[in-house]
Amino acid sequence: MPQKNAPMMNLDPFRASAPPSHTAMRGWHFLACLVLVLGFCNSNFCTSNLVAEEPYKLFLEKLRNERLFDLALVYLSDLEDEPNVSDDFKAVISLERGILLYSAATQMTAQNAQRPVKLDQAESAIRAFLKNRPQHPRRGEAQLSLGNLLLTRAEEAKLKAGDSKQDIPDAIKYFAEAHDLFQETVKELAGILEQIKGARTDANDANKVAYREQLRGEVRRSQLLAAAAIENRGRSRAKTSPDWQKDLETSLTMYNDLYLKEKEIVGIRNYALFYRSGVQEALGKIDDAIDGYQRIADQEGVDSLRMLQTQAVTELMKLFASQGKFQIADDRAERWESQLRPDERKAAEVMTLKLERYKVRLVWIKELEKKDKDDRNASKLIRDTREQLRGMMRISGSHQDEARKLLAELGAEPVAAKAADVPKVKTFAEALETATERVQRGETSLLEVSGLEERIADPTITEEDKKAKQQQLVDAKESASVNFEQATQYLQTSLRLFSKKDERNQLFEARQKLAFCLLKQQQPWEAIALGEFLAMSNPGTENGLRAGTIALAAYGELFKTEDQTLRAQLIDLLGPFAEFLLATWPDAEESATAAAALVQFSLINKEWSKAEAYLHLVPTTTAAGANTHREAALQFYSRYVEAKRASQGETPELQAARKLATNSLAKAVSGLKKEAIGGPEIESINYLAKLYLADDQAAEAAKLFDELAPLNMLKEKPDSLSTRAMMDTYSTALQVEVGKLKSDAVDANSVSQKLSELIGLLEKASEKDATGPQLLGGIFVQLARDLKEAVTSTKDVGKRKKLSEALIKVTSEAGKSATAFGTNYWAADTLLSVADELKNDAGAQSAFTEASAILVKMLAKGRADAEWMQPKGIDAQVNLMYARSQRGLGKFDEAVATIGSLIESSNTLHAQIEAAKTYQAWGDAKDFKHHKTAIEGAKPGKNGANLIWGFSKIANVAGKNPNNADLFYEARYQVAHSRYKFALGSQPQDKTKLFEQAAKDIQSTARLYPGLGGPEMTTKFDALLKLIQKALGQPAVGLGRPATSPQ
Amino acid sequence: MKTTLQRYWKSCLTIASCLFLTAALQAQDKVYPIQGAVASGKLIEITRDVITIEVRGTNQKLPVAEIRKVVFDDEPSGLDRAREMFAQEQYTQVLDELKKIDTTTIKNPLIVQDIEFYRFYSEGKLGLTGTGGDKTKAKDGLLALAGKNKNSHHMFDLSALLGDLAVGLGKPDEAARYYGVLMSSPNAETKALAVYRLAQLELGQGKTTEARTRFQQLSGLTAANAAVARLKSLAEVGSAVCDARDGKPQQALDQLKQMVVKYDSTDQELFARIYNAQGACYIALEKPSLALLAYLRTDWMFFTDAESHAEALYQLVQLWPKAGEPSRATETRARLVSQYAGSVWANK
Repeated sequence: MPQKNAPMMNLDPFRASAPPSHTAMRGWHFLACLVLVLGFCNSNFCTSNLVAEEPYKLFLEKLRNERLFDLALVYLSDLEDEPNVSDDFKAVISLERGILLYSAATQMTAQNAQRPVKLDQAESAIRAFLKNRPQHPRRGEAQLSLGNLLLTRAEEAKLKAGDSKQDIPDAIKYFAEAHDLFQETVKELAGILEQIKGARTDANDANKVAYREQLRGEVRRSQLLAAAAIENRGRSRAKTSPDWQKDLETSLTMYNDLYLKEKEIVGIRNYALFYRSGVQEALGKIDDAIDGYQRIADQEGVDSLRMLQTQAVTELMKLFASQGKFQIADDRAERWESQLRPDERKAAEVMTLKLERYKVRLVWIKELEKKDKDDRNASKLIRDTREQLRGMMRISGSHQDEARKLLAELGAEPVAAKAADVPKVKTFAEALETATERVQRGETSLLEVSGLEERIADPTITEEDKKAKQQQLVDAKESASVNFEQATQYLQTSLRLFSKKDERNQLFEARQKLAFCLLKQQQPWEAIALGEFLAMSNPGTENGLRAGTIALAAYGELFKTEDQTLRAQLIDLLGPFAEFLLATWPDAEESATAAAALVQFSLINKEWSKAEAYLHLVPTTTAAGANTHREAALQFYSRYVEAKRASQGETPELQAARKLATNSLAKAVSGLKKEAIGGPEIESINYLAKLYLADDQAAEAAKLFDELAPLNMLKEKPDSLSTRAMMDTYSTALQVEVGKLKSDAVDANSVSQKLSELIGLLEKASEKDATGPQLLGGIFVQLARDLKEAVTSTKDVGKRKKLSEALIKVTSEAGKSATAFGTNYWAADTLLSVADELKNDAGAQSAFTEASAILVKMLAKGRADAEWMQPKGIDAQVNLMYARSQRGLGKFDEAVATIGSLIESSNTLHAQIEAAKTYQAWGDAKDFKHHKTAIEGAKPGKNGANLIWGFSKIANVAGKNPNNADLFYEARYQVAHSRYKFALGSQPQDKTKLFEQAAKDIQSTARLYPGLGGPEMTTKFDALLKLIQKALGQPAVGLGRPATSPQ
Repeated sequence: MKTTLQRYWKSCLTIASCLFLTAALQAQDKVYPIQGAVASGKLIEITRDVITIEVRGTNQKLPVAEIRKVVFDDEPSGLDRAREMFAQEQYTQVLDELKKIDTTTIKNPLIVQDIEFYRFYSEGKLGLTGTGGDKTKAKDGLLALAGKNKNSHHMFDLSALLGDLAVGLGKPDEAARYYGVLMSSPNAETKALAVYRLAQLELGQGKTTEARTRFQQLSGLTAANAAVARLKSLAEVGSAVCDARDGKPQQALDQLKQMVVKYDSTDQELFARIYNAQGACYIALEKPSLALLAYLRTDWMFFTDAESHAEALYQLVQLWPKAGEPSRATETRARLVSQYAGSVWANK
């Protein structure tokens, strides 16, 4: 079998050289279809009442013919439970399912994860049928299907191995299994056949006669495929190894037997001969191979063999060429091509023949030129081949790419020859025809250009070849230019010559071609002028849309400008045209593209309202449209984020930006199906969820995550997203879960369980990338804030208790199990925040205990590994947190000692505040005198100054730096606050003086700094002063200012 | 009173009848009406309004405006081919055909004049379309022809072209005179053409009130045939231009856009005028890019009417720099000057 470079053939599953796309699987698929056809014959045979087919069978067949395999499978499942379905049909449901599954699998690419699943299901369904129906008339068909399935697996294994020169064990295994199965089939069916052959079947019993014929066919097919399996098992082995030789020789014998024995079934006989020739070729028996191919090619009058004959001619030609008989090879191909029928001329087999012929010619040309650089035959061959390849380029199909490469190999035609070719035209039709020819030439030249550019960019090209190709590239470009220029002139002439007797539709054609030529000649304004006119004059038609596409492409050229004024003009121009396109061809991708361009340009220019308006024009039903909505929505989201950063609180602008982003993202995700989401879609989902959360629509965010299940996608395809995107998704999921906590209906325990799970996933994801830990830190800081806010906003005592317990549990578990610093830090911080929030609640102690345990572990780890805590200097913060936890647990001495040590090595305002707060807490909890220390400081150093400053000095220091204004007011407040507390505990004789001092602390601050650090602090000062005034027996008038409300 | 031409004609006929009696009996001139059967017989009299032909002993009078062509019995073989080309407005081919005819051997002066008419007319048309003809040569030729035979059945066509050539050569007063000749026709269609041409002339001179009156006059006509209907369409464009010039460009634009949908774009002149008018509206509305596109349509699709094409080229010269393409302005200017050297647009 000529596997080395043989084209794919309908009945040749062993020659796939392309990846196992459904194209590559065509051979198998064909077999499957063949079997399917037989299957229906069998059904007819075995169920005599099927002359009038049941509607469900017809429907199933229709689905199958339309290749709607999945739908057919669903339908089949429904039929299983249907009482009206005949028992005969129910008996074959398993087989039908297997065949459908196999067909569905062959339609999928090799990369499709569902393909192996479907193949497995198909195999078990067919095997189940074979097991449960030992006497069924469709057994042969089932066995053939199963064999084909095994061949498919074998072929996949081969493709996976690439160009391996070694044995491919999986392929060998599957080919062997397939061979055994086909042999068994032959044996089994031959046994049945024996019982009904000849006179044993009544010649008048049409059904039985038909069954006998069917069996005969199945036996032969099985024999052919058994031989093919052996042949390919050999070809899956190391070439020229003894096993390779043995398998090929065995298959040769099998093909030969089949060819010699089978006289009636012409397809089997000739395929056997064709395959035999391939094996002979591989074994070096070239003359025998040629003889075989010739026999096939020379047969006359058998229509069903025409494409096999084309393949045989292709092989024949290649063999002649390999012997240096180029002329004979070319003549053989030429003769066959001249006999092709019109309906055969575009067949894939014919395209392959032509491509192979031109490849042979290239070798031939080189041979001729080697002998004589100016060989005239070579020149003629180049000219002819170039024209023929151009002809091929005009037929769409997978051959075009190779044809383009071959054209590039041949090089471009000298421009001068084309430029001089300017026939005189007298009529519109002549002018149009001449122009059309030039347009086609121009297009071909452009294809040559791209082929040559590819070739030049190929790193394996020699310097000499590169130079030659560069010259050819210049020629090709010039050729394109000359042709389009000439075409333009002829088209203008045609418009001038147009008269009423000419075809009106040809006038459109001429104008459209003119628009196209102008576009190709870098005259985009003209192309727009013509394209728009034609589109608008032919609304709703395919031609009109094509003209519109030319105009759009021209717009694309013009939009390359950097000139902002011109861009604005172009947007104004394109707007109405895009609207027209959308109104006229609402479902066309071109229309969506036009509107999308407008959206994009408006976004670039930050014209949000324009972009929003244009976005309404873009349908979400097309792929391009949906993409535009998503892109725009992301831009709107970015704008919202920017606005949020710049904004002070909830401004109307920020709300408007959020609304726009939310609406557009909601629209962008509205059409998504959870089975079909990928990275870009997940990004949109995350952003939308965040927007919902920012808008207090936690339920919407949760619904979005439940419906589209982005976490499932991450689970199934963990490598499909970047670390950042993955972490962002987990982070958003965490926020969504936290959002749920605010809801009354939620079960806090289940949420906390989910939070634990997500934290684990998040940490795992962060390990994938160097930037992961840093990202983790940021995410956790935000999470801590969210959690604290969740607790704060929960007013119901019972719920709050439940919630905080859940949070403490989740957070401490996360902190204990986590290895990443960021997670530990977050856990401790969250626990401290929650504890602060709970204050005197029972849960607070639990939170402080858990936080303390985590912080102890962190400090120990930090001492053992200096690099563990990142960023540098964060250890001071960790120490302060530890001191906070000690303070919370009533271990004031230890807390002060911790902070004192920290201040000794690194004195900061924050550390001083924590120290003073510790004394305050100590004063509240145990001894009121510590309030005095909180004000005045403690631990005098060698110079007599206190190591711990107290709020008084904190205020003085902070007051010197305007950046610390908040701290200043806070410290001033705390001075008065501690003084008040100190007074409360003092002896009665000291109380009044101390209360007065406390009041003075506030009043003097208010006098000197009337703003008092803003409304919030003013309220605090005011409330405290009222308490003091009350303690002094004075009217509680506070600051005596009108009430302020915090903004 | 018989014209010189008719006298020649009669003498020719007499000579023919004397010398070639048999042939004369069989000889037949032919008058092809636009609609109806061909009249074959002996041409009796030709005037600018009516042609009289004797058909089987009976004189038939056929209005010139309803005649497609007149074929002379003894004319050279290529002449009728040229006439057919002429009917299809393939003027280059007309000249090619006529070049093949040796006029020195032609005895019938009517045939010679007929040839000259087609030659100079084609020359003039080509000159106006900027495709090789010499406008001045055409004008001189046609004037000489008209001078020699004031009753030629081609007189109104000839006068209309002389008017067009005068416009093309930047001589509006002369043009008005030539167009005025058409007003003397008894045929409504010819008169309507005169009204339209004069209105156009006035529009070109900035006399919108006068032009509008004429356009309205045309709009009020009943479209008796396709030609009058076409003139009404052209007048509709003219009215829109008047609106635009009178400070109502948006209103004019709306009308012009409807015309694009309403009319057949195979009428190159009509569409050239529509798009030129659209361009003018866009300029007035300060939308130069849209104006550019409108004039480009005239330049690339509807360029056969010389006057409109020259105008479009002129406007493109002004508009290209605004689209950031000054070199295109230079190139367009070169085209304007080379194709329409004598036109008012090239000399603006």
